[in-house]
Amino acid sequence: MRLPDYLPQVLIIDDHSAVRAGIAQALQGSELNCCGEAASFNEAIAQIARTNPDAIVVDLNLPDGSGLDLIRWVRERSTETAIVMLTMSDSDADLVAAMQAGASGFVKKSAPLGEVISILKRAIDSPRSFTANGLVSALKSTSAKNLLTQREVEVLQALCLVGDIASLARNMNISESTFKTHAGSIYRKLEVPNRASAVKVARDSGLI
Amino acid sequence: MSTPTRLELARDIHDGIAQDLVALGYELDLLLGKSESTVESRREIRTLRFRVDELISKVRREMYELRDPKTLSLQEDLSALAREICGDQLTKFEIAEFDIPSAIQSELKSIAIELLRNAKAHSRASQIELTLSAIENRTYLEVRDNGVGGAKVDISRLGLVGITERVNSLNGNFEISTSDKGTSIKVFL
Repeated sequence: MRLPDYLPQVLIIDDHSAVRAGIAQALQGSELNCCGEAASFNEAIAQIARTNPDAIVVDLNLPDGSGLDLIRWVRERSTETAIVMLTMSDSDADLVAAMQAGASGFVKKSAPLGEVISILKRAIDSPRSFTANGLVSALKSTSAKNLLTQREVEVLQALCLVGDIASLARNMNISESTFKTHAGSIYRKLEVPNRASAVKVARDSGLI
Repeated sequence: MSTPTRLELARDIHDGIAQDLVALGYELDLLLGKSESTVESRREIRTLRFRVDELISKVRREMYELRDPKTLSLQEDLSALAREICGDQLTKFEIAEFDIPSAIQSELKSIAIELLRNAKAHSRASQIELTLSAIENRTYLEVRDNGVGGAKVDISRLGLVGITERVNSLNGNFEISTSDKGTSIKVFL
């Protein structure tokens, strides 16, 4: 049970001191307390052992290891620690990887500090859930591969090439109407309105 | 530049400039959060924050281009961009594989993007064609459409002025031919 005036203790793990400093300052005005900073994987483990934080903010890329490994390490030892991954990456795959590793939240470094703090607070309130802006679209794009049949994946890959439907269908040795049927089914499954959006999903999900 | 050097540079950019920009953005966020700032100063800070965001995106984009050897070829990059900009209207697409001088690569890409955007936005064309090839040791780029042409060149003049400047700065040539059957813009660099 936390006392009413208890401030959650946050450990900041990032190899860039200026980034750590910005977050540490934002914590001060947000009823959170920075209990320490770490610039590497090993330093983080030492700090976690020493300070037993309520929450950690961890960069994906650390000089001596991966933030994902650190998340797994923390999660194996505590289900109650709030873990927020902070990263330069805007890849949907990294977001999903953070979730699968056991993070409670994910925030891009391009996001304003206010978003870092709000995701951190939600993670502290509910460490075993997962919060990230763009979670739904990330899940959709990364699950595109599972949604589609093999043939539909091939048609989607064809749609990513340049050319009109007739020539794409010809290259695949199928009729234009068959091609269009597959395309319609792809758009429906991916919940996209048109070819351009489907191409975007295909790229985000690594299908091309 | 050899591949390992490129990868090192990508990592340096990542570790350096991009992260410094993130920290700079955070400092602006903190300034915005201070209660004593005036409406006017907050607006200026927001503008700065927006510019920092743009720089972060730019650095990150360049970083991934360096990091991912698949996107190293300008030809591949252009083909993806052309598709993104024009969608189904891009009906013909001829990009020759040749070594584009590194000095003109980034300008060439900007020019191609601008021309494709112009065609997409102003021409009302159903077909847009992109050609990139090497002619007599020069790089040749053409964007042709079957749109309304003519008067539309005026509307897109601002964009074309920018392109003209870019082409001139590289000692290149620039040709526009336009009629009610469409527009063709040729660039030699």
